[in-house]
Amino acid sequence: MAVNLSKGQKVDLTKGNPGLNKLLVGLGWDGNRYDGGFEFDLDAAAFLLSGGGKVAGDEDFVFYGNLKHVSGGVACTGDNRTGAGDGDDEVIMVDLSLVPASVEKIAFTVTIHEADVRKQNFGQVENAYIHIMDDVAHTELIRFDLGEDFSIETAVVVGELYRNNGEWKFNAIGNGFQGGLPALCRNFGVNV
Amino acid sequence: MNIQRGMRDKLDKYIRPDREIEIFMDVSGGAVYDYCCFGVDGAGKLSDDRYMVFYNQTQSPEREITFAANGRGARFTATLERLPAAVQKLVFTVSIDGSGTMGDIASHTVSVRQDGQEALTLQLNGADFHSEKAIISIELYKKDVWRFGAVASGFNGGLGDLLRAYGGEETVKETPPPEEVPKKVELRKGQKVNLRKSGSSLGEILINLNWSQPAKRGGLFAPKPQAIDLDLGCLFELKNGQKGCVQALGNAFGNLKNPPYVALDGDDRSGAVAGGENLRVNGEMISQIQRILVYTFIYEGAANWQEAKGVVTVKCPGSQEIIVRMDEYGSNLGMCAIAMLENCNNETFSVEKLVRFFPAHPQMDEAYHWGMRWVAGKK
Repeated sequence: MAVNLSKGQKVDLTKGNPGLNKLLVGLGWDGNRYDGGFEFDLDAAAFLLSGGGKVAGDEDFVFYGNLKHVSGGVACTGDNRTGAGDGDDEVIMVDLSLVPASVEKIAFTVTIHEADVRKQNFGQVENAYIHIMDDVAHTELIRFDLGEDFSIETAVVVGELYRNNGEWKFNAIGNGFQGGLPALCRNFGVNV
Repeated sequence: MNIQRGMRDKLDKYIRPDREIEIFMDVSGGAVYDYCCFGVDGAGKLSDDRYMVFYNQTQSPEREITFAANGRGARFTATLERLPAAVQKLVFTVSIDGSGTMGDIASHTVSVRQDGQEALTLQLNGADFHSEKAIISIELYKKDVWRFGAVASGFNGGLGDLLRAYGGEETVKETPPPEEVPKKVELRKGQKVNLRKSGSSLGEILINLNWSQPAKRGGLFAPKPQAIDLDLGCLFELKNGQKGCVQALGNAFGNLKNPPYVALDGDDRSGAVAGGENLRVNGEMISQIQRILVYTFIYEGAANWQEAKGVVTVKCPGSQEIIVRMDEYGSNLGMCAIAMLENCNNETFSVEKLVRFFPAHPQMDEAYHWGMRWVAGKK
């Protein structure tokens, strides 16, 4: 039974779910319902954050240019270029048992590809969500419908998995930023 | 404050949503731009046609939304708090009537004002678009409170796509079964058909306007119904650049054998004469003719289009009859552009239904880029 979260809500993930390691993190949205103009290409990424909310190195940034973390704990499955179709538009696989102990948080983000050139922003995106599935039992554990009316932001930190007393929890963040992926990277300490 | 595409925010940060708001829209460019406000429900559908406000329906039932032409642009007013609960969103659109796309425009400005003060301004130009023929400029919508969204996106298919998006009625009649060759075809607004495509010459094209007189009302003291006199006329443009108009007013009856190859029969001042008013076009001379804009105007009597029930029939030997019904009312303007005939490869004419109302000749001339100078006349 999935838990529907609201913005800012934090919930237990592994507590009460012993043996839960393999997660499917799915992100979806409805991009352009208008046929004029550019296609929307939204990209999901994960930042593996150590102390201070920063990455330890650029390899801790998992995205379409670095599909799999060296630990094997976080992997992007590929890029959907249009957001067309139902269901998840992008999927990130997480194996908590492989995530290095130094990683305190995994932040999941969505950014708009070439937002500046295409003059696009999250004000034009609707029905964005993130959900976390148990990839073994194929059950939905958590769902967060962003439901927020975003405006001129070009990047959104959708949510983060974080360690808390030896367990993993999830924080439904849903904060937008301007400046796209480069701004997010700088925020999380990735060199761009 | 300047806003950009995609921006959304609460309206009450900028204006008072409980009082009347003005929305000015303007496009500068080479095409004909139409402005419309759709008042849609929570599911994004136009559940009540009366909340589609534009040049042919210039206000919603309680005047919560009004439209007025403003130069080439439009001025809407909206009083959000007075809208029925079913209307959750006002969608302000621009669509292109005829050729051209939003990518061709010089600029598009939307300005939201209150008490004469400009609160929000959205400024776009052709580089913001591609081949859209209809766009949603901005939306005012209720989500807990009234908000705005600067959508500035649209559809390549024009007004039809907008109507489909909002579920309005763009009635497409079922085509008759194939064994029955239709002798008549009634055009929908914006629909264009060719008279005939065969290689043989066109012959004489007859454009007939007929209408009804108001019914007599019962009772001794019932007001005498005012007679309706509709005048048929056309603007013509020849291939050699010659332009002019053929109409009874000013005794410009035209000539069938010589330029402009368009002529008007005598004037039917009552509508009672069977046959109404006729314009004839010499189809043999099609290679000399660029385009013809057929219009009607009310010379005497009130602009009571609903009672006049005007019908224009275009007849051409060997072609099915084309019927253009003046089935949009609600306009108190005295002039209506009914149909556009355009030369197709010197072989035939296309006929497009317009049914668009104007105050007088100059505004119609401007809307269709005829470029003539106008002075008042009398018949």
